[in-house]
Amino acid sequence: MQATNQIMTQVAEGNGRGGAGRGQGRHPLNDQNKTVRITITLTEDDLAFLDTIKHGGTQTVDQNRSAGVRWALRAFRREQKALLAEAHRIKAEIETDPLLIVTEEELERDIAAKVAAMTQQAKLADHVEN
Amino acid sequence: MWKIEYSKEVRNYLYDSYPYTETIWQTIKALRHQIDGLPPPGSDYYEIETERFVWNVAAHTVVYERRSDEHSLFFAVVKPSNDDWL
Repeated sequence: MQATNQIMTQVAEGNGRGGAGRGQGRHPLNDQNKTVRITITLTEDDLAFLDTIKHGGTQTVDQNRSAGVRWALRAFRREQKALLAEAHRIKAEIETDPLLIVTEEELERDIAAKVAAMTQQAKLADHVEN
Repeated sequence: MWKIEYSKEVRNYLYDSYPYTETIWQTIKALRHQIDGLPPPGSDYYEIETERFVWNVAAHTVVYERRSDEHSLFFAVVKPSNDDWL
């Protein structure tokens, strides 16, 4: 877990937006222009993966990791946005048509029927083969 | 015990892809036995909005809503995690 702590320290010691020198890192400011500590948990496997990312010709491992974390955060936000949009769309649909809600009992019944049909089909195939 | 409900999309996915969806279906169903309607401790999940949760489980991303007043869990979205749909 040492590598995880290393990354979190880098995040916490950034100099803030606008004041950071090249390579020193930046981190987010709140409404009062104060730096905000954020928590990002990275496993050893995550770090090992980020080390494999190649971006540009001669970047160091740390720079590659920074780029990897930024990409991961962007992907996470994009995923959140897409999931929320889909959940909201479905909520709107079921509000206008509650019949779109399927109960556990209905699904159980449908799948049991499908399993029965599949079993029957397998038996028939077996019978034909023999 | 919580009542489990699905959106039509989730129902169709679980049904159409059955038996390949057996594991994720059983995992979802097991949630009804959780006292608080939340995934077991140590699970990979977070609350994306009030009473709406994203749960990464059994190679799927699941979005569900906890309706405590009705004591029900509504599963709106279930997608394979490795699906490049975003």
